[in-house]
Amino acid sequence: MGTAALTAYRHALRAARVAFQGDTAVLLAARSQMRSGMLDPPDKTLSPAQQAQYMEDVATYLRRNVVQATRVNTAGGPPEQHHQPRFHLNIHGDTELGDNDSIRNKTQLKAKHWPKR
Amino acid sequence: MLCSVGSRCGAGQGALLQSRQSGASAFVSKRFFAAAAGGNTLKQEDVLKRVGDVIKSFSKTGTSASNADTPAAEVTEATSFQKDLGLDSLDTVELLVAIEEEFEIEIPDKVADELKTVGETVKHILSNPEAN
Repeated sequence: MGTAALTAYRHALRAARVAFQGDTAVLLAARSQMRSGMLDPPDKTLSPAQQAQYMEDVATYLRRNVVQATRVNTAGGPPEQHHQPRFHLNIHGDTELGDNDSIRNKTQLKAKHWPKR
Repeated sequence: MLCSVGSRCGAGQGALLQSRQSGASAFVSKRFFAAAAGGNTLKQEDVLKRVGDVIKSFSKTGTSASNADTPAAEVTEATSFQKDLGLDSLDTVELLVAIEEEFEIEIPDKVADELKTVGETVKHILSNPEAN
């Protein structure tokens, strides 16, 4: 397997941990599927270079465009909202922000890290 | 798995198949070490042992056909990922990512492509100021 493919695989494995931090079941499933994809590519018409690029795209997508949500206790808010589900979103430094219009403006589309304390 | 500030995370905890329960605590301790030490204070034999433990847990849980009978006790500096552990190129990438997670570092692509033995990997970890 070529270096580009292995590098892409490495990037994807790392990205999976960013995207699925603490969610062992999903992390394992994602990595397992990545391995399968490396051994048996879903689209066999692509050239090796394109296959590697596809895996790089998977890595980028996982880092930027997947955000974990954890359901949290609804106590504490206004009483009328107590029965509405609330979620913590794990937006991190690589998460892409913005919507379909602002996305074309490439500046400031990344979440900022917490400032040093 | 929580790693308290000032103590070292147990060996093997960062293995590929075990994600940390709290990313925040790992993050905090990383900052602490970077600020306090300005470089890692890892001992060569400890690094070798932890790499061995990662290899051990990797062999047990990996989806690969890697040689699960190679005990971590037999892992030495001279151990080659491919020749001695029977890892293929995909396994090697997976193992190195597991080792990255154990030491909370990212091995640069160009370096990672060249790492063929445990000894080379240990040497790189020791040279990385962020490793802990």
